[in-house]
Amino acid sequence: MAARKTGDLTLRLDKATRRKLDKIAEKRLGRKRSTGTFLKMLAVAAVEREERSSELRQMLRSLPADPQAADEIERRRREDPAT
Amino acid sequence: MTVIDTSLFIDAQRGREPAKQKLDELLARPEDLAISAMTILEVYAAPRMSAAWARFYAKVFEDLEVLDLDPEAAEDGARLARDMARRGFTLHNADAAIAGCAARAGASAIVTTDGDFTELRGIRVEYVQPC
Repeated sequence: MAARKTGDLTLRLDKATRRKLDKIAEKRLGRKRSTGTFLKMLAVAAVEREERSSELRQMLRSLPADPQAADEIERRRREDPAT
Repeated sequence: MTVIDTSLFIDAQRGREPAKQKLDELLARPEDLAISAMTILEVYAAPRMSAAWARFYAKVFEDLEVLDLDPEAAEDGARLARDMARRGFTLHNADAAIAGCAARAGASAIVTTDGDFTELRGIRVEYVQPC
């Protein structure tokens, strides 16, 4: 029978890597956090960044040109006086 | 951090491929990007805008870092504009505000399709040919 999966993720880190991560975590967060918590925070932040990026790029790629509005923005900024 | 000038959005909105491609490339790393609050004003001041572009801009302004036009940024923008004027070049006030925000934030570059920016000193300008 296959081993039952738990909700926890186990990562094996050597001592040096763990120390390094703990140092970065304290520097970034300003307080001590467990290595696991910090790694999870990094992973979540990375996934969120990736999602944000892909959503924005997908939107951009599907946008039809809107030259009239673009010209209007341009016209207004050129009417603005030069320093 | 890279600051996107309003002109890059304008040319992308016109459907110009170089601007659209550059914007797409930049949006691969939104965490490294910023815009000036002046860009929000310039874009939203347009009386008409397609719903799709309005949604896109709203998302961009929500997801990217927005640099405030505070007194320090305004002073930096004025200094950059004065420097250009002394050399015989002009910088519109909105452009000076964007350059000032970028300078104050210590941005590594401004990406623009506006040739006026290319004469700026003290901040790296990445000029994208509009067409």
